[in-house]
Amino acid sequence: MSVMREMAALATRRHFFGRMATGIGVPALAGLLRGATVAHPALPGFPNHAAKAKRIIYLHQSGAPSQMDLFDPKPLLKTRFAEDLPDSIRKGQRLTGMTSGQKSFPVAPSKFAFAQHGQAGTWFSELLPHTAAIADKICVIRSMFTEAINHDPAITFIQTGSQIAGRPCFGSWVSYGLGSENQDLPSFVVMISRGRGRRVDQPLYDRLWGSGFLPSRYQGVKFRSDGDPVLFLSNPGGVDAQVRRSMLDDIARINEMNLKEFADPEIATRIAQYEMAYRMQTSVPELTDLSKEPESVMKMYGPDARRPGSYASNCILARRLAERGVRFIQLYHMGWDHHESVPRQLPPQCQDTDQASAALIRDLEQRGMLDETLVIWGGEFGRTVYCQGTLTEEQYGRDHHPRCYSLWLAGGGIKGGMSVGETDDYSYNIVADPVHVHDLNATMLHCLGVDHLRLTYRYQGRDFRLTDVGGSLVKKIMKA
Amino acid sequence: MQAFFFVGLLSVATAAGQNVDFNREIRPILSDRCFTCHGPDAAERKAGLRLDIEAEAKKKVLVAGNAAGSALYQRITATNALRMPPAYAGHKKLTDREIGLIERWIREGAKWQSHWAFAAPVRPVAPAVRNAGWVRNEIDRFVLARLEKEGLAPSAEASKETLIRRLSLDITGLPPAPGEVAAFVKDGSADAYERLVDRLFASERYGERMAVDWLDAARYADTHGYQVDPEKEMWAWRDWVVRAFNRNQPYDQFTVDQMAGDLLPSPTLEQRIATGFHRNHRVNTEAGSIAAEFHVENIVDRISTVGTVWMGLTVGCARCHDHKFDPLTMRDFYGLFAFFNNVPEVGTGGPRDGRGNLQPVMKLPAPELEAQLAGVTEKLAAARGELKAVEQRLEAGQADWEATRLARQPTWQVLEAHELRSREGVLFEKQNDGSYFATGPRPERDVLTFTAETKLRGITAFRLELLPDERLPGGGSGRGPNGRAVVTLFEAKQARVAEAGKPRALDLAVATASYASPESVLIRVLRPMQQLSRGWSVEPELNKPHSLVVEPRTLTGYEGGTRFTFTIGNEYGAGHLLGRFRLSVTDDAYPDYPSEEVVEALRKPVADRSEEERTLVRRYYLQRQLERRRVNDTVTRLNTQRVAIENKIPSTMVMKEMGLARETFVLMRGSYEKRGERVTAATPGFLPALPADAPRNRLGLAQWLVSKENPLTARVMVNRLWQMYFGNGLVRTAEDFGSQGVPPTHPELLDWLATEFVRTGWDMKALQKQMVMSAAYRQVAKASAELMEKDPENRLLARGARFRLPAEMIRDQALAVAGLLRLKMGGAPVKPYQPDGLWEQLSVIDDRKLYERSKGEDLWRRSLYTYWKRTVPPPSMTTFDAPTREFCVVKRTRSSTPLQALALLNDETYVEASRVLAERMLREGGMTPASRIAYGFRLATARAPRTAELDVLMAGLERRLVSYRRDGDAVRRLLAAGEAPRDASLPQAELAAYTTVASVLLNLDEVVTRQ
Repeated sequence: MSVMREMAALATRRHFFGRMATGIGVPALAGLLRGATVAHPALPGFPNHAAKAKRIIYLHQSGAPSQMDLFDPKPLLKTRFAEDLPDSIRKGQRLTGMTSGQKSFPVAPSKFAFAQHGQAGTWFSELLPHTAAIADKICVIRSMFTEAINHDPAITFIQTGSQIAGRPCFGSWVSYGLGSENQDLPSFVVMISRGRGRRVDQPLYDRLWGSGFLPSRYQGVKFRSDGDPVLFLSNPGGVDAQVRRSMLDDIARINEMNLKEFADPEIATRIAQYEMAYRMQTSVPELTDLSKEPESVMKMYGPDARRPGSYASNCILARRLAERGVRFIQLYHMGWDHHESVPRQLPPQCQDTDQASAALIRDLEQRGMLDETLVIWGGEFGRTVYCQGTLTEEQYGRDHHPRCYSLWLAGGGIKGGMSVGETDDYSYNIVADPVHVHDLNATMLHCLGVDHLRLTYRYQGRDFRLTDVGGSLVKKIMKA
Repeated sequence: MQAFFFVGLLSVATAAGQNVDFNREIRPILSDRCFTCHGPDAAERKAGLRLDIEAEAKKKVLVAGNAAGSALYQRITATNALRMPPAYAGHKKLTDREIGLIERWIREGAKWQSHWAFAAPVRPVAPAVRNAGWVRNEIDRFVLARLEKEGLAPSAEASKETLIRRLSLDITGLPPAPGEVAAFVKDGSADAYERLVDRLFASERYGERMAVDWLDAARYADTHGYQVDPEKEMWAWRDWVVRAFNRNQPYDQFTVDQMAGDLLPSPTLEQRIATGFHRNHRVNTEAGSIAAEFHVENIVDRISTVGTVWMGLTVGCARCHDHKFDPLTMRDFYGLFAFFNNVPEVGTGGPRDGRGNLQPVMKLPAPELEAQLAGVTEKLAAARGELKAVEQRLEAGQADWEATRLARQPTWQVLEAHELRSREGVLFEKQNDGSYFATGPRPERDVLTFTAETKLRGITAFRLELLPDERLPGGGSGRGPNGRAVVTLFEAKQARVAEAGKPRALDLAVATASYASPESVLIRVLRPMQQLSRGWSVEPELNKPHSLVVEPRTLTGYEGGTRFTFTIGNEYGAGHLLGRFRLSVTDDAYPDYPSEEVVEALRKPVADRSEEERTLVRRYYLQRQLERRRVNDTVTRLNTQRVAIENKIPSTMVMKEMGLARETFVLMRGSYEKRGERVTAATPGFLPALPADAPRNRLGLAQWLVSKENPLTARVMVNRLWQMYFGNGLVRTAEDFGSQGVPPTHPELLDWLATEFVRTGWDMKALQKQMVMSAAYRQVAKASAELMEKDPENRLLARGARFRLPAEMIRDQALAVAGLLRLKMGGAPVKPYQPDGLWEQLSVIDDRKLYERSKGEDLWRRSLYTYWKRTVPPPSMTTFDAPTREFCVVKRTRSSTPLQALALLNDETYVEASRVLAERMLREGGMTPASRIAYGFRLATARAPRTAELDVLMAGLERRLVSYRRDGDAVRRLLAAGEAPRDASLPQAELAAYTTVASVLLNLDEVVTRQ
């Protein structure tokens, strides 16, 4: 797919509007435009094959959760407490500047207990009881790996397929390729919550939901928990709905006169965008108002559900957005960067997310939406088996580790009740079924009915794609 | 929606009877479908075949005049597995039309042309045209000749109102004032238009408008970027750009100054500032980043930027492999790399100066501050001299002091609590020895506040004693398990007893203890980290009394008595609280517990001490002598002043060359860890060579870029200027003139402009004047149905351009129309209205700076001066397609979104502008609603409203006036928008209703569009 094809789609519409503008009367046209959809269509030929999922809910755990304390048990390490990480495992691989100066790399076994859950006997640590309870609905990948070792490049990499800023993010690609199903809401929504585990944490940045070189209308729209849920959504003080409608009518009438004179389809587009803005002023507050959610639902998502801006509250919003056909719902939960103390910082972080993540899966399933919604839970890399800082059995920190980590997927197109991939005794290197970030992204696109090789955009003379020059499907985890 | 290019729609293809044009029609197909495997990249080349070189292609797969006999044609038409491009995924097939073109091209002789952009432009002769009356200058001949060939006629000239608004926005970025419009409309003289153009180019607003595009290209911002995104200061460079445009600095000099101003013979201050161009890139200061990795990233960014801005090439593609489409090798890439590899800099930034800038840095002239600095420096030198003298005097007493030091006990004065409060309600009983014993609730964590007064002066230390007591667990000194306590915080504030003023925090410098457990970290008691898990405990000596001595940086204690407020934290958890404690003060010179090293050295006879031990004892003795401390406090105070002044002097980041150049290597797959062959600075081999006598440094590279032989620089720049005035470049892909770029719509015109640019000495204003003087530019922007059908993208220029204004112009225009715009130029960036909480939500690093909105006139400066934080850029700009400034952009997208509507309707910037515009309409617009609305309309559009438009606006005013007359509260709330002074003398309900009309005006498509 290229800009040529998108242009062809646009041109068709332009011609349509062009003829409308000159061919039929303006009042008729005005009526058409006011009711007209600005929800953009999918690119011609998309989806490329039958889609298993219609949308993605991406639960990004920013800062990198520790795999060997949550998903990847290494019981043998108990006997190797404080031993130096063997060179045969480290293999001289690069470390961050934070620990490369350490004199030793003592092994820090996880202090948390693991048990097997579900029919497939998937391993989970005691910190994730709710996730463990949905073991049969999810697929844990324990052999993820990435190329970057610091947060900014790594989070940029998993979201855009490149460590360097400037490429479109996953949500923008999907929004561009598959279009929007909702005329009153953006097709790509972003929500951010803060973790209890580490308050002073890695920041996030607008670029992570930016459209890169794709047109900016494909960028994520950030929903905020305080102030306007969408920037500039509320009318200014002293402007009520009636005054606003009256102003919009005036704007539309004069713009329609202008359209008649200039026959520029851009004018028609602008008229339609103002109508969408007006509809968003109603649809967004209705969406973000959780007061009508039944008590049972709030309870399922946990004690944080009533706190606006919490991860749990964002998970409920995610389900509501999914119900309304929003294509890509991106959550970011901050606070997973546990250099200083995993034992102290990880448990509250899990409390933030465990119950609500599991509740989201159950909630979607109860509404018959899990089959058509692909949910992913995971971070940008893993953490080191060796300790950063002071090591005791009760106290250890972990540095960044790109060579292996764990995450899970559920829903549309993904097999539940399984885990895939294996790491060595130290959760340091992958020994079976490695999954590169590009492989993961290719697989997720496949679930949406998109061939990752075909979702391309011509920029600077090259056809770019989310998976850059890589990506193989992880067939093991895909439903037939 | 954006300005897209689309080759297929328009009948640019060769008409019957004309030969197929290789560069326009064949090369793009070969490049796009074949070069990946049969192109410049040697590593990926299949079957040893390359189709980017004529001789190779003709030797192997082309028989001129015989398509059927050419392997190339056979393979692209094969129906079996031999078909090219191969059917497997990722390779697009050729269409029948493309195959047809290739067949015809071979049949016509397979005539080859070298890629148009890589041969120096030759000045073409302007073609003859039939309708010579339309032609105003050479540009028009090229445009009209093409139109006549296509059987199209140019559009009529736009109205004078349209033209003055178009020119004002294009050249200055601001709309014309009504008076200027009226004067121009009335002026019937033959040169009225030209005089207007000259006036606009002479305006200082021109440099500001030009700077916006250049700042995008230079990825200019006020922060370093990446996730930490700390502040930096580069506005001196931004102001240099504005000045350079305003004084019409020729583009070749403009280029040389920015690329290599520092390497010119005796560079001026301005030339050194100019080199900041190459310091605008992002720098990753994230903890743990690897300097060598980001050293490479930073230089790659510089080369890619040079490639895009001057060469119009996607140079960055050759970082990991030979370019797939253009004849640029990896060696070429690292040859360019070597030019930028010799700056004395650190990949992850290194230390920042007081302004947040990274080496190499240049301080800017600041005469007043420099004078202050000289004054303080002089005083500081005097104080340091005195300090030395005092030390020499004191040395005589060291032996006596040593004799008594270890035996000596300071005298402590016990403090009685005026107030002792526990956050969690713990109670304290005073004991006979002046200590306090805790009773009552036993919370997990607690914080105590202890207030006491003393008349003591020259205070050197505070002492916190933990005293064992039988009533505590295990007879220890704390209430935790086994009688443990952990002190996690000790803070002190002071105030004069005589004054009721707010107490001031004391700077506590040193903490020592009679004993501390191995886990204790005493400095954390004074400087706690986020996690309050470290502090002072005395385990296992829980049954002995122990002391923590805390020394303030300077002597303290006011004349007439001091009230101290201490905060003592017990936030370790699990009830590790104080059990019995006592607080005291002293003025003794040696209140502390000296380190083991000091004690050990003191125990030795002088003759047995090592050199280090002697120094250690001498320093310990001297530093605590009260006489020396007093002088030293002066030195400290003056030094703090000196640093504060120094940090106020603005600086700017510049380029500099190291004495000894770094070695440069080809990096395999672009990775900093994988060095290949060594290379030296060189320009790409397929372009004209660097002259033999040119310096092999950035200056040589700059001179090469602007040499007459360089085929790219002039073309690339004139194309971007064209894009400013016609909405799109003649080459639609302004960033790519390579074989994957879109060939020029008017190749001869592009070459004529490029050669004209060089011929006139790279005169920026002269070239732009030619563009706006042309009849092509002056056409009305209306499309007939026929034209819309034939040329929806206006590639043939049969009408004027119509496009949405860039972000900065939308805001600046609203401010100008309201009369709010302040024209103050340059200086530090400003922070206009922005919704609360944007920075807070995204950046959470401890020392983050929050968005502090500017006050007064800085709220209404041109958008060029708005503070640009890369990770959270101003939403009023990015909503309207401004880039994030993280990397070079030479062509913005133009989108139309509902978020733009919401911003224009509801952003405080525009609500305030509407309110102030409404005041203006009421005050200056005459006495009737019609005249007032018409006035506002003229301000916003430069034309009078048509009757139908006026009717809509008048009816809207009436409707809303009715509702505001009924609702005084709504009136007050609407008119409260913004900080601009309010005109209370105007009838307020009317003003509210007019405010809504003004807002309607600012939201009109025509107003946010340049047409």
